[in-house]
Order: sequence, then structure tokens, then C-alpha cells
Amino acid sequence: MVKAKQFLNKSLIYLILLIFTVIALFPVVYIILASFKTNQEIMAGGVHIFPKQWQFQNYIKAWKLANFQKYTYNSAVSPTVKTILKKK
Amino acid sequence: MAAPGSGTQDAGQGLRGRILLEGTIHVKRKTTKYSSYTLNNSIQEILMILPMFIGFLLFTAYPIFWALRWAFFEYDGFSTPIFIGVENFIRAFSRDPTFWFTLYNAFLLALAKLVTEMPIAIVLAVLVNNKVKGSSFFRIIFFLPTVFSIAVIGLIFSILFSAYNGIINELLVYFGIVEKNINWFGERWLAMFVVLLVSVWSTFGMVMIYFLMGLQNIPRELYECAQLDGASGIKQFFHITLPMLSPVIQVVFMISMIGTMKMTDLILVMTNGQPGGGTEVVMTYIFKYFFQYGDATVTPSQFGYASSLAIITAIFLSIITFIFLKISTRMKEMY
Repeated sequence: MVKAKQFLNKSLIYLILLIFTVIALFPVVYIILASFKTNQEIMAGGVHIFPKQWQFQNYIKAWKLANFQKYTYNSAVSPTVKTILKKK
Repeated sequence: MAAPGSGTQDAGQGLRGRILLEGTIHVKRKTTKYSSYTLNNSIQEILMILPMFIGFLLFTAYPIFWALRWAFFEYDGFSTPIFIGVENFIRAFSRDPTFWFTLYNAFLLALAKLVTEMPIAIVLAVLVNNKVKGSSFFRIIFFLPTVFSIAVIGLIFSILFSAYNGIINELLVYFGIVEKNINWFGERWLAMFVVLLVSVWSTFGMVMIYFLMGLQNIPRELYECAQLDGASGIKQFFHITLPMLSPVIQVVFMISMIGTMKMTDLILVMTNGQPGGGTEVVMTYIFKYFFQYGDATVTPSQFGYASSLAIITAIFLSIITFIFLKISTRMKEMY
């Protein structure tokens, strides 16, 4: 009886935690998976979360066209230099 | 010679005056030495505080002074400012119902956020604080939304909630909860609901961490005693956890309320005050007066008016905070 109650309590705790995990993660996972879709697929909508075919074109495009190389370099260099200078 | 400290107590009558004298001299010398020590100390303290204080003067006090000054002027950033006295304030109080509506909106959002976010955060903190398997994993997951920048969050959620191809609509239709797509940003209350949801989503992890820190300060013995007395888990929660947590709750309430009242970026990215100014909050309203939003030739920015609105809002926020602190003093003394 006590065992069963404990089990029920435990599973209730996990249920609540899992629900909030899904809520917290869903938008993030959706966006990460959407980054592998084509523009048409995103615009078409539908309930499928996973891309029909995985393609990495978006990342290449972002890296090359949107001048992301420069930005990444900037964000990588300035904190590194700051940390080194601070450490003395 | 007697020790200067005990001189007055056990010395003979005759010697008493001398020793007293010596004692006072001694004490006097000691105090002068002490004061020079404190002088040195305070110089050091001032020097240490100075960088922060200069920053405060330059980036907080100085801009506030200018905001106070422009509040009494009519100024668009280019032409010469015209002094108009309290005309800006009169305009805000008598001829600008939209401003009060936005203030009301912000207050409503803050209140709704408190009501929804605090229970969620407390319950999650208590659950995660338990000895459940993978509690650190859950902590990380719940904290994850806080890491993203608000602009990114706004974009993500406007994609998720978009009316024709958003995944939320698709899922709701797929599971038969609604019959046709909901236009989330087409109606005031729906849009407010989405904004509330997103702002809760983006901060509940942070609030949970605050509560977690508060929970870890509660001594375990209390729970052991309660267990011996036969109090159930729910009873323990209401009679130990909540009262012991109340000082933390008070502070978090205040921070969250002020933070939500000042919410700007999320609204600007997600709804931009649409539909029809229904979700406009006070800070976005001021923002749009300050940084000429849209066509500059049609609506030039009004620094003066925006400053006066900002001052009125600041005063209102302080009043609300003050009232809240007055009401909630009991929470601090609870344990």
C-alpha cells in the first residue's frame, strides 16, 4: 500500500516534470529541426516536425551570404582576448 | 602601573584620579590612532567604489537629469528646444488616454504573469529539489529558455503561432481541439495571452533557480520533525516550505513585477502593439515617441513628451513597488 502510494507520487512528479520539459524544449527543438528544412517546407506548414529530407544548405547559406563568418569571428575573439587580459 | 583597561575598577582611592587620567589619555591616543586608521580605510573604500560610482553618474544619473530636463521642453532632436513648462504633463494627464491604456495593459500583464509564473516556478523548484533521478537534467532543461535572447524568442514564437502555417495551429487542428486555425495575433486577448505565455516561458527557469536557492536554505531538520509528527508532503509544503520561502517570494515577486512592467523588446518583436494598439505596453508606447517609429516625416520623434511620459511611468512604478513592499512586509517577518 505504502509502496504503491510512493510509486504513484514518483510518477506524478515525473509526469509534471516531463510536461514542463516538453513545453520548455518544444520551441527550441522545432527551430533546430526547422533549420534543416527548405523554405518551402517551413512555409507549407503541416504537423510534421522532422524535415522530409535533411539538408544543410541553410547553414552554408547563412555562413557565406549573411557574412556570418565575420560575426562569429568577432564574437569569438573579443571574449577570448578579454578573458586572457583579465587573467593577467 | 595598572593596566589601562581595568584601572578604574580595582585601583585604590588615591591612585584613582591619576589612573583615570592616564586611562583617558590612553583612550584618547587610541581613538586618534583609530580615526586615522578609519580615514585611511574610508579613502580606500571611496577609491574602490569610485569606478562603479563614476559609471553610475555617467550612465544613470546624467541621462536621468537630461530626461528630467527634456520633460519640460518641446524637442524633436533637430530644431531648437522650446520651453513649455508642464504642458507635456498636462497633455499626458488630460489628452492622452492611450498612454493610460498602455500603462493598464502593462500592469495587467505583470499581474497575470505573477499569478501564472510563481506557482509554476515554486512547484517545479520543490519537485526538482527532491531526490528524483535526473533532477540536474531537469534543472538545465528548465533554465534553457532563459539563455536565449528575447529577440530570438520573439521570432521563434511568432513562427510557431503564425496564423496559417504555424505548428501550434496545425497541432490544435490535427488533434481536433479547434476546428479551424486561430488567428493568434488578430484579437487583443489572444495576442495578450500569447505574449504572456512567451514571457512566462522565457523567465520561469530563472525564477525557479531563485526559489531553488531559497529552498536550499531551509534546514532539513524542520522536515524531519514534521515527518516525525506525521505531516504529509502537501502539509509540509504549505506549513514549512511556503513560510520559509516567503522572503524569497517577496523579492522575486517584486523583481518579476517591475521587470514585466518594463517589458519592451518582446512586444516590439512579437506584436509591435498590434492589433490596433491592443497589446501596446507603456514602454513600447514611450519608445515609439522617443525613436520616431515608422515614417519620420509624418511623426517626428517627441523627446520632450516621451521624457515626461517616462517620468510619470517611473513614479507610478515606484508607487506600485512601495505599496507592494508595504503590503508584503508581513512576508518578511514570517519566520
